[in-house]
Amino acid sequence: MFKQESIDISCTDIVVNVQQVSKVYMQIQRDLAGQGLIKGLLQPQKKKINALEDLSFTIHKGEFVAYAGPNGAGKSTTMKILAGMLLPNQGTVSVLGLSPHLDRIPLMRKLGVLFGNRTELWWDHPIQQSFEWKRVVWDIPKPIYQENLALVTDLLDLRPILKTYARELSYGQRMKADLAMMLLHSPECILLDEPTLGLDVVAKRRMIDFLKYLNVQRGTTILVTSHDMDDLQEMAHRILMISNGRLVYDGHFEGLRTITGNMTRITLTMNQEIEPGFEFGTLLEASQGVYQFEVDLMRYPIESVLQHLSQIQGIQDIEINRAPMEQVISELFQRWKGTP
Amino acid sequence: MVKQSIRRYFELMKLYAQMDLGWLLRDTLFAVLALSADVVGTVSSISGLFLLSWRLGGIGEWQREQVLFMLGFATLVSGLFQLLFTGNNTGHFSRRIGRGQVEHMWIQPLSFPMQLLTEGFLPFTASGNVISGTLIVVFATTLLSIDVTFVWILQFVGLLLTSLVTVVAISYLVSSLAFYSPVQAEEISTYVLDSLRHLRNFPLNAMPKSLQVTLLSVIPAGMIAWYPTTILLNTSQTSWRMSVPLIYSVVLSMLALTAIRKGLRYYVQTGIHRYLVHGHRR
Amino acid sequence: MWGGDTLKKFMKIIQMSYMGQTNDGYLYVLPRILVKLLYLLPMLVLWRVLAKQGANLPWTLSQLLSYTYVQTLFADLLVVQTEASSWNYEGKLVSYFTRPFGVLRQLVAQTMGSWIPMLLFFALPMYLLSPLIGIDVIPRTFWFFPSLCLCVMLGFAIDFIFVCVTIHLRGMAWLGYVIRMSIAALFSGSVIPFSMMPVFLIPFLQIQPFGSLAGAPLSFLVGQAEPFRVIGLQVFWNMVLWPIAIGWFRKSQETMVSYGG
Repeated sequence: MFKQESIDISCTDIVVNVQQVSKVYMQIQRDLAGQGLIKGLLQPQKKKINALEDLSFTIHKGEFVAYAGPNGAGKSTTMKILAGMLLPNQGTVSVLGLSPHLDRIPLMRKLGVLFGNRTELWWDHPIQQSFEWKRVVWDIPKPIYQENLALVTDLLDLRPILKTYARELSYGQRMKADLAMMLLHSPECILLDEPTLGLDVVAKRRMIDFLKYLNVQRGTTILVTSHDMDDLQEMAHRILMISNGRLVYDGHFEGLRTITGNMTRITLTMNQEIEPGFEFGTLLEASQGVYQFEVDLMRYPIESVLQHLSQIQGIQDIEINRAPMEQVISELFQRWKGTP
Repeated sequence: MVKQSIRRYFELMKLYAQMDLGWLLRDTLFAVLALSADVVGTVSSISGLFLLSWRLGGIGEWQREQVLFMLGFATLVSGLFQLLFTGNNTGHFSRRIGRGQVEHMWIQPLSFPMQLLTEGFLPFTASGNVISGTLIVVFATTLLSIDVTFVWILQFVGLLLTSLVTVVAISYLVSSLAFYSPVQAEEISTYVLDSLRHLRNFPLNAMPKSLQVTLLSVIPAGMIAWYPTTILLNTSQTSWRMSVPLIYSVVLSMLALTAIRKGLRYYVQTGIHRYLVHGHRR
Repeated sequence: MWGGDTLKKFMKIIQMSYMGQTNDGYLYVLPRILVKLLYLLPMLVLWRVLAKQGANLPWTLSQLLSYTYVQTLFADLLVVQTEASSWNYEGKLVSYFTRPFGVLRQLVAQTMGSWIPMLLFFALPMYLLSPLIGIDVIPRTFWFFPSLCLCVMLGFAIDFIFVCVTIHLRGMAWLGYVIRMSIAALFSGSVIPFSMMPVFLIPFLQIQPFGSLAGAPLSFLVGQAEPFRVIGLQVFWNMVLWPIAIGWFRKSQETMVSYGG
């Protein structure tokens, strides 16, 4: 099942090195009634969950890597292991050459961590105060702090909200402020767990542009998880896909398409409401003379498809699109779900 | 290394003091409520027993003025605890553990002891009990005509600090249970400290020996206020008794440290699948 | 209003609340039981000490012991405290509005469910043990039972009023909570019976609303209450405070929902 594509990387320093990491959780199971309930009181049943199984990957300096997988795949567990919050049952982990567990304090001076569903801001204080707190606790030299503050204020448009209490910000504003706060100490590597969760399109756009800026202009290594494949595809050069705790894919986004076949959508607008005899594809939708087909271009070369289309009468308009990445991923998840 | 740690400690204390003052000054109503809440809480926690002792002319062998001194001392211990460990649930570590907020500690480039010793500092909004406790002690001292010498003051401060360490240690000791059951034990430090707050108000001199021993050992309620009061009011004759609170607080601290370390080792193995933002940096 | 379906939902919430406390095992009820015992024992000893020293107590030792013993066993019921205040601060109360069941009913059910572990594993065994330790826990008069019901009802009303207070305090919700708990402890008579207080304070303590909480049924327990006056006061405060609680709660909904986000 595992597929790896070769990726041309000019940088050579390894920032994240995960080798044969496994993590097991025990979950308590409870019956609601009957004998099981009584038995459960004295001897609770436990279920073993393999959150991560023999996970290995490396990330080099300057890479922007997406870390994706279905719910419960092990993404957050991986992030927590990299941040030192969890210890793997087996395997080794190093981030920026340091052990997250043994060298936590020096690592946190170089690493930035942001979880999408929680804030590092001080709720009853203005944003500026939270930033000032960060400066002192991280012991950031004042010139660096001022420089970074000016940068994030400008690029994330924080000026209007610097003096606002965190509790009075909208979710999107809070995320921006959290992102800004994370960057004040000039981290060399950033871990982002669902940073675009709950953001509107404008806020999301801003965050993506900002992260790309950081990666390109400052060479910051970024590892990001998200469920939004379009966002990930736009941000990252490389994707690590995890399913049931295992790494199932490591490579470019385009490489994912080849696993499920090079599925393409062809939409034909006809003069009349008559289904065209298109033999190369499966009909997905038909509505008021518009017919959408799905074609596997790995099976049928594009030249043959175009030649066939040119012979169909009554076509008013043709639209050819790649299958959405969401669909590709969804099919892959379904496929990997059944794989032991 | 030590010098740097001390420097960082005072730097962080200054930071949290500034944040506390900023918080207090931004909202006058809040400021008034914050200080009132402390005073009301103090008055209510001691007034029951005090009014009882006033009605009956004392409890056991103790006159009501001695009971008042003990209650004032207990209030001061609470006050110091609130001053140094109220902010951010540093004094109620079980809440942080139970709510999954310990993860925030991991991403700060500070040792856990440094974080816990500084983040709770609220010298302005949590000073109510220090003030009211001091007033009660001064009043009771006047009523009892105690000879307040420099040595006596040193004794007083020393015993105050050992009582504080005892309270903090017991809080962390019971909080360590939250590592193993985050939901059930989230508020365990609150239950225990509330119980101690109730128990420490009892003058133990009239109690049976078995209860005295229990409340001076397994449950340190007597160590917090009654025992130090017996030393300060010279009702205790033997000089070796001065070292008992110190030894006790050191031993309890060691136990608490061991329990927390063990809990943290367990925590990094199992993680926590719960997160509540309530009380985090608020 | 309370059809079969309503009762079923109510019971289900009670069940969920109870199971939420015990899902990780029953061992964790032990610390709470220990804490209760630590609260109880010194008080019992204190009364014995005072009786022994010949203090001029207005009640007999037996009455004082019964009072404190039953107060500890049923503390959760005698001064009701829902989780509403802390929830409100988190905005958690807002989720109650998304369910097809009255918000206040949900709170009542949630709270009643939270009582069960301690009632089952502490109150009941201690009640059965009481004759062995020489404490009489049988109410001296049957008025204890209606008084207890009125006490619980009033407790919920007062708690809901405090929820409204905390809603309006917004970021200062915990301050309201601290003040409330302090007032309730002293003025409900749960720690020290009113009769043991300085004489000039007793009439005021008995007449104020908190005085109709713990102190009322417990004084019936020891046979030291005038039914007409005490029950009358409990009924009066229920009639006054329930409309205030419900009205103010309804009025506060918008603030609650907006604040919670």
